[in-house]
Amino acid sequence: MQMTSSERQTAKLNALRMPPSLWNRLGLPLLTFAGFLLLWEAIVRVGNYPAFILPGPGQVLRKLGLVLADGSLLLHTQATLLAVLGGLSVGFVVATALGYALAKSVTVERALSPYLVASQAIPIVAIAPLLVIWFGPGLFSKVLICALIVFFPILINTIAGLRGVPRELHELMRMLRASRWQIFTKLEVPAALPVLTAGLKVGATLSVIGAVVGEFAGANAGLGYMISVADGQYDVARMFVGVFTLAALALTLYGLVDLIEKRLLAWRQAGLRNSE
Amino acid sequence: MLAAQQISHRYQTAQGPLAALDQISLTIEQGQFVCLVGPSGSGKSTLLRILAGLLKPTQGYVWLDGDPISAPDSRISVIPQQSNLMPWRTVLANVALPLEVQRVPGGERDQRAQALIELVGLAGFEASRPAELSGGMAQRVAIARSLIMEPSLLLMDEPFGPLDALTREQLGEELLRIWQTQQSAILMVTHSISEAVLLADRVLVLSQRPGRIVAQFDVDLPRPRSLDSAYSARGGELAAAIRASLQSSLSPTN
Repeated sequence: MQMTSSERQTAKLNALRMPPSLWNRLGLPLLTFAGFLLLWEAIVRVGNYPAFILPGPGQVLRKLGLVLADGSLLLHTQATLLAVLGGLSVGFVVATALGYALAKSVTVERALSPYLVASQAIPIVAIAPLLVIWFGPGLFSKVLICALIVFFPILINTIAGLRGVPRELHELMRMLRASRWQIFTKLEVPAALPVLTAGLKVGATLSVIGAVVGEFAGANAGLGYMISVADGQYDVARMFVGVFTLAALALTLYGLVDLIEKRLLAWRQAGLRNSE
Repeated sequence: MLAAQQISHRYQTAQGPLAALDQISLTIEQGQFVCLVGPSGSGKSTLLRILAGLLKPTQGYVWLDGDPISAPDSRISVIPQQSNLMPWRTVLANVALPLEVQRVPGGERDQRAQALIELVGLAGFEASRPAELSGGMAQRVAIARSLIMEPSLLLMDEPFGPLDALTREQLGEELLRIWQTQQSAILMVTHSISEAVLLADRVLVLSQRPGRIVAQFDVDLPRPRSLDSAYSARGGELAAAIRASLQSSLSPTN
């Protein structure tokens, strides 16, 4: 069977497109960051603010050196990271399992969905202190809070991903007389993966927020704890270090999930290039 | 080989029952190419789904080689209108999917898939993803995938529907060539009368809803055929007769 020449042309062209240059991916964001630092320094100088209200970038950098040297930053980052990753894992497992049940069974959905939606009306900030009272100021209550906060977006995306599996592909698997397990591994998981990883990305950043909320409510370690202690001492530079570390943490996590996503979903690149 | 007897089907809708098919009986012999033409809404897709064992008819039975068909069967393959490839799989992995589900070992799987990819003219595109293929190429992949289980019956639901006229004619000719290398019988739903004349041994004309078989035509053009056969004098005659019968099935008095 011969293919038309235009068919071959399209296929060749798709292979030739270049990825974005290093400058576009890294240079531009770095330039924005430099601009932000300059603006910050300018505001401090013009307003002549004292360090306990608004420290300049230099002071924050010195504080960073200090907390790095005495090991306290590492200690608190570790505590927060543990809660974030623990909560994300627990939340992910529970949310995907429940999401699968909800997407597959109308009965389960009818029985649970009003409560799941209602649970989203309760601000996590309001129940965090309760959880700390019940489960203590240690890691466990933080993991729980993180899990609760990441639960809903991952649940919703699991359901959306599974519902979005094309009916024709389900029919194809039926025609091939695939088993339930084969339908799950060969169709549902790969088909729902793009939506699922999108939920995981949202969850990764939310989990960082959850950890801080939990640490504010009561803790003996963690970046949220560090910020809240610094707050009591008017050590605004230390608070800035905490905030920036949290942002870096969230960004790293997001990037990591993004990287995993790109690995798992390499097949989508072909489609994206084609639709450009 | 395939026998359908007195098949009727009604859908339950909000407005009450909707009759889609009315007492359809048909037989397809081994290796035969049968085309089904009819106006839209004549229940062609419903009939195909019933023959595939995907849908249980309200009345009637389907037999394949003497066995009643009430669930999907490995001897029957379906090629849908949209090629329904898995976008995350390569061409090779898409074609090999049916064997994978049947737990055929990897080496044999790839070998058989490779042979079919060559048969449908896509050698060199084994590692491509569906998004990189044109509509015609994707439909070739779907054809290869449906042939890999060596089905005795191939059900095609307007397989060239979304393609442009030129690609469509070309694929029709290719399908003839492929079919002649296989032992499969084909039942193909199509809108195109000239396509039906080119391809089929027999053309069935379906009425508007509820679908009934209003006429049958034996296409006695010699094989092997090419596009020229469909445009020959005898081909033109047959096409005109099929068109007339389609038209009369559409008239309100019918």
